[in-house]
Amino acid sequence: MADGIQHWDRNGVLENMDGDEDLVDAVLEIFMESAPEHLTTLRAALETADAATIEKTAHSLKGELGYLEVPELSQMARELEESGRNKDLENAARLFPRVEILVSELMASIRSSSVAQ
Amino acid sequence: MTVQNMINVDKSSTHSTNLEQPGDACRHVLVAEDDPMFRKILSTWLESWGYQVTVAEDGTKAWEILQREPAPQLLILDWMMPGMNGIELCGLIRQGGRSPYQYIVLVTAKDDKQDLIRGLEAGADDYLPKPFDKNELRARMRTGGRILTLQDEQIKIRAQLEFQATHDALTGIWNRSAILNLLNREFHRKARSRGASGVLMLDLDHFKRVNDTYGHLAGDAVLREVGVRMQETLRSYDLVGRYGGEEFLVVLPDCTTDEVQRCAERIRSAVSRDPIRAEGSLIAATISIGAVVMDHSFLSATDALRSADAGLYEAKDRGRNRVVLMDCSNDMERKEHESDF
Repeated sequence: MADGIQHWDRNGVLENMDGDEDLVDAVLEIFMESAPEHLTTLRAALETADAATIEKTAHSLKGELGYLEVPELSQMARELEESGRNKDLENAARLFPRVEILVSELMASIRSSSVAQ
Repeated sequence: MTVQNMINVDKSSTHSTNLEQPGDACRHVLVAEDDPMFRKILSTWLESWGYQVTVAEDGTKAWEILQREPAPQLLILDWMMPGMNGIELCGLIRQGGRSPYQYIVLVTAKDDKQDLIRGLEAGADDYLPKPFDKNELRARMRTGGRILTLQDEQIKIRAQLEFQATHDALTGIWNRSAILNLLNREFHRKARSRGASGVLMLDLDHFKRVNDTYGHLAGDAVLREVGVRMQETLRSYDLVGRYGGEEFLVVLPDCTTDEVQRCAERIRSAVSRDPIRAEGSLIAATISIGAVVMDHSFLSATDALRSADAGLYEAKDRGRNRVVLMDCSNDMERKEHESDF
């Protein structure tokens, strides 16, 4: 198990945003708001065995993670999306707890980085 | 100026648009994206490059925005959206076969080659995988802008050609086929509404003498000036065309007999009042006019034209520089206008 989130670094995101600090702030703020919603939706979808919602929500999560320089988490979100598409709920249930932990860690890192700012 | 020179001048004037500086049409971008983060990133970057951005949160809203005029011509559509997705929206846009053409960039986190093909087959022009790179987005927008700018130029050239096909090159008024079409249309319009319109056939008096005495360039200048004076005399919605060499045809929609007579007389007097300056000479010109009130008693536009033409011959016979209004409701009984000359 990698520990990628521990070393999360705002500078990678800043580079993706071409050095635009305001845009980085805006993007992170949007993520802090939407990520818990995605997790809640995914948890409920797993309980009701709603594969389509798992696919759709994991897809959104994966898209947002794309700019945040978290390759391991992005990859897991991709796998979760694929499980949803393949209606493989077992695999989705196996992946979700790890995604949930990594997203929470990422959010904590973002929070502490913006405090440090 | 030689003919070759004239062609060159024409060419340079149609190619004045700089492809690196797209016109207004290519500056307005529609972003259809349900994810707030991508909306934020896209609009921030696009605006920083000077694009005007309209945002839609889903496909249905995007479709609504596209119904407005003028609709954005550069479209960035997200594949996965609630309501209507990017692919469906793409298909709907292409189905309409809208002109001008809209350039569509499909954006998605999907990364399967099969998806890419589906997107292009649905009518997308380009494809951008998420998360996209700022420079790549900019380059792709420029590509779209280039194509739209080329299209803009072609639309302008088409409009120019349409103008040339319907207007007389010398005088800039309607040409023969266009004015005959308009006369025909006016006849059918009147046949439905049971109103009346004026039709005037006009012919410059002794025009051959102008050409023979002052040269053909002077003759051209006289024809141009007569065109200008006729238009100045008439209402904005009256129709003026060059029928032949020195013959003109005027259609006056919605006119009473008195108004037709007054209009014709105004034209006659505008042509003869002041001599025309052409090629360093002052040339006195006069015009003869046959007029008719085209109402339901005529069987066709040609019928009305024939009658106006008979009036024109009558005006020539009676000494030129005059108006003859044919009264067709009383068995072609002619009524000559009392001119003040």
